[in-house]
Amino acid sequence: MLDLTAIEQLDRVIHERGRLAIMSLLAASDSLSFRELKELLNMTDGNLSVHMRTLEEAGYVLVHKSFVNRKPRTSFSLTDAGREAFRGYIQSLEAIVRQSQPASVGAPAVASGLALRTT
Amino acid sequence: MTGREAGETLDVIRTLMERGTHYRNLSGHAGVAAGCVALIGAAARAWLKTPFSLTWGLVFTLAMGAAVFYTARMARQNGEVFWTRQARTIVLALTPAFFAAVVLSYVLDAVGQRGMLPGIWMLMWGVGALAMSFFTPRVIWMLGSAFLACGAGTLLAGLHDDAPTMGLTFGAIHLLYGVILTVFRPVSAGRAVFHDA
Repeated sequence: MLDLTAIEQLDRVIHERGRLAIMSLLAASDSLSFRELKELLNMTDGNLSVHMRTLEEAGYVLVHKSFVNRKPRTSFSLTDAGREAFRGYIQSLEAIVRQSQPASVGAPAVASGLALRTT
Repeated sequence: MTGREAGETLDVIRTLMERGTHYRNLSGHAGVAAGCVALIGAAARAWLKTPFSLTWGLVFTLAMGAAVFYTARMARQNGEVFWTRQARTIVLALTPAFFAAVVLSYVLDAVGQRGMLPGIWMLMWGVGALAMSFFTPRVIWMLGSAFLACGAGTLLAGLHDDAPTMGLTFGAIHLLYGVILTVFRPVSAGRAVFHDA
C-alpha cells in the first residue's frame, strides 16, 4: 500500500508545473533573466510575473534589478531556502518512486543525480 | 501522484535543468558572416591563387572576429551580459579541439602534408562543435555532425584541393547554419517540456 506521507510532503508552491519549471531552470543556473525564462518556458509576461511573485513571496527566489548597456535587466536566482525546498521536493519525488518500485530498481540513482546537481 | 508520474516529473526536471545551462546567445549572423568569409577565401584561392596560410589564417581570424562581434551584439540587444558562465563553458568545450587543430596544422605543414589540412580542420571543428553541443541548442550538434562527416569524407577520398572543399564546407555549411539559426531561433528548442512529457 502506498504511503501517502511523501505525497503530502510535496511543496505546494513548487508543485505547480509552471513554478516547478522555473525552479528547475534556476537550480541549474547562477541566475536567469526574465527574458530568458520567458523564452525557455514559452510563458506570457503576465503568467511569468505571477509565478515569480509567488516564488518571491515564498522566499524561494531573489530578484536582481540592474542595467546592462543602459537597458533595465531583471534577473532571478534561487535563495538558500529555495534551493533547500527544491532539494526537498526532489527527495519527496524520489520517495514516491521508491515506494512504487522494488528496492532493486534503479530509480534512486536517477533521482540522486538530480539532487547532486542542486547542491 | 503515482510512482510513474513522480518518475516522469523527475525526468522533466532533469531535462529542464540541462536546458537551463544552455548557451542561448548564438547568432545566425555570425554563421552567415563566417560562411561568406570562407567562400571569399575559397574564391581567392581558386582564382587569385592567394597563399594558403595567409588566406585561411585571414579567413579564420575574420570568422572568429565576426562570431565575437555578432554574439556580443546579440547579448547587448537582449540586455544580457556577454561573458557569462555559459559562454565560458562553450569556450572551454571548444579549446581542446582548437588546440589539437593548431598542433596538427603545424606538424602536417612541416612534413609537407598541407593537402590534408582542410579535412583535419573539418574534423576538428566537428569535434569542437559536438563538444559545445552539450551546452547549446541542437543545431550545433547538427553542425558538428556535418563537419565530422565532411572531414572524414574529405580525408578518406583523398581530396587535397582546399578551395572547393573549404568553400563547400566552411562556406556553404556555415551559411546554411546561419540561415537556420536566424529563421528558427535557438530558444525554441527549450520550450515547454512539460507539454512534451
